[in-house]
Amino acid sequence: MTMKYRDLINKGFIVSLTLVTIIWIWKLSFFPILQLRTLVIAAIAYLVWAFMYHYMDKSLTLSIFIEYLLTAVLAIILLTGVLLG
Amino acid sequence: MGKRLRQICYTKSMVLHNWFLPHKDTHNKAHLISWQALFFYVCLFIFLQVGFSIISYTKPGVLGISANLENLDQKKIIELTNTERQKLGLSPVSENEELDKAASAKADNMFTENYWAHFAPSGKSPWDFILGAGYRFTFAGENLAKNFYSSDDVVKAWMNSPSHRENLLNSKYKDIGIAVKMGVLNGQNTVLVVQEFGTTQNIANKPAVNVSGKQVAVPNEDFSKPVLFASVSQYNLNTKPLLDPYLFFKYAGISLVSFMVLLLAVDILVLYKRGVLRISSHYMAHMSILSISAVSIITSHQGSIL
Repeated sequence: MTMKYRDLINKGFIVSLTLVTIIWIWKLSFFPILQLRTLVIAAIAYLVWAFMYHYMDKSLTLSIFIEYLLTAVLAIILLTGVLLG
Repeated sequence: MGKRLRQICYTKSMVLHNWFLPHKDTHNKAHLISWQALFFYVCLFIFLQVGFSIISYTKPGVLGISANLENLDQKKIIELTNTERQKLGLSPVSENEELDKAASAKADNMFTENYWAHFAPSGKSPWDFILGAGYRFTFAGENLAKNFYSSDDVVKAWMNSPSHRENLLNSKYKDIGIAVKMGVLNGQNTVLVVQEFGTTQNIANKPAVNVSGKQVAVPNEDFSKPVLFASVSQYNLNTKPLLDPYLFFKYAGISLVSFMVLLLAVDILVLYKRGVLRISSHYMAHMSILSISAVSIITSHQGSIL
């Protein structure tokens, strides 16, 4: 697989994940628990993608993975605060 | 002396610079979006959430919604319900005093037993309240809403949910009862809206209650139970809470996410100007999860339905 093709797949995946999740979260705006579940699923997908992307790119380091992990955790914590107060 | 001062000023400005902009030599991210900063933000928000839970537990009513009950009007909810029914050619439901009492008793019971559900922890069912108020139904239903600011939002939320919508637009119902109450639930000031529907007309099936989209058959012996609620305690609070955790976390969350997106954008711009940028999926992924987070915070409603 060429570098350019792989990059296109990566970007396509991220854009699709973002759009689908945003639409789904917007549709579930009156269902806090389902909204939170959707965000958790998106965060897991984001982490799996990050692991695969950096592994294949040979740039996977602990600090990079921690950065992704903390960003995902922060997104969940922020929504938890809003929904559960 | 002047040279030394200039050196100190330069060093200090570079230190400050590194908090907001990528490092001029290593091109490492700004400190405020480094993993150490992310760790700090996570800990800070966990600390705030735990702190608010402790306050809710130790000082009930200090935190919570500060809704104006004038915007949550019983009559308006009935009017909006009938508007939705009439759009589909259904007959309007009329306000029934017994169902009003049942709704009021249900709301009070949720505050007393501290629960947010159709069935109480003590085992009381929705029909216990309806029968307890003296309404001998053949078919009934219940919709619940929590922490909404206006009657329009409550009805809109019910209409957006298939099971609540089905209840609201059920052609069998002839009567309606509504209660809007403010009290302390789980240590926080909470506004509850209870909507009870019913009919006393003879229908072919056994008496049933529509709860969360499921029809639950009511045992015959429940109809012979004595009236449960001789007196109804009042839970309408006049005191306003000091802080609404929902609004606090909403504004704090949006501010933090916007700040991080801004720093990431600056990072991209600076690296681009330095000629060392490769627009990688790495940046896109961070922007993606941050935008999903922002949208989820913005679109989330304080109100929930059951």
